Amino acid sequence: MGHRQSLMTPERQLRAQRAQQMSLIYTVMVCLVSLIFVQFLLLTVALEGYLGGRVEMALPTALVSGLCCAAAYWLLWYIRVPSRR
Amino acid sequence: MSEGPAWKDHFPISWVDDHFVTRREFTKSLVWVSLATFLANVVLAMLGRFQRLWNAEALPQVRLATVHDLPVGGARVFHYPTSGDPCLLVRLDIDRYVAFGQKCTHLGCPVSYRAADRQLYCPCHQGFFDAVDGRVLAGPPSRSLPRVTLERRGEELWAIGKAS
Repeated sequence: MGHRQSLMTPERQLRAQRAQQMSLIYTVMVCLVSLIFVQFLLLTVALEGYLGGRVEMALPTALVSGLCCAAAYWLLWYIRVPSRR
Repeated sequence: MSEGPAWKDHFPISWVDDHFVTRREFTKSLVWVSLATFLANVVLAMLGRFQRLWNAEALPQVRLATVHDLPVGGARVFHYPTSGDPCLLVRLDIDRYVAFGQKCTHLGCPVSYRAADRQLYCPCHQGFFDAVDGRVLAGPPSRSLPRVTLERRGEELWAIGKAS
């Protein structure tokens, strides 16, 4: 691997690095969309519980939704780190 | 200097970087959507908590009707304990009255009384409740209708409480 990298020109190295970063961003996007999907499901459950008078369901769903939101924020932070280097 | 139009030298655009930034901005907006969904969930949780606290307070006593206002098999809508809580007063027999919250326990649609079957019926998703005790007979609702406690004072009917 290291031998192959040494044969790469700086331009190709940069392009390969960009490609890696792009795949990382795509992966993060898929994870984010999945998290939002879960959050929408939780919101649906909470709304149905609220309308049906089962208000006790709203708190656990809000907690899990908060965890999903924190995970989404961490993913965003994670992909921002390479640009600072 | 590269060959090509002069504007490419004056205004160099790296398309790779441009796409990179666009996707990152999109990712950022996804996080905003996630945050908005979380906040909506928190608002629902807080509304539910306030509603519970509100219901825990002492309920007022409200005069509903006289015993002659309603025919046997008849029903009347009233609001108790607040104007946002519709309820249904039903006269089952000559001397038998019941009252329930009118919001279906499934998704909050208003129920109506069917005298022939002695049932309370939700037309939204075909939910059926027993008009005697408010329990679920059929359909998607999983909980009984909240019952309003009635008291007869001479010729008058009063609502004095509500069970959740």
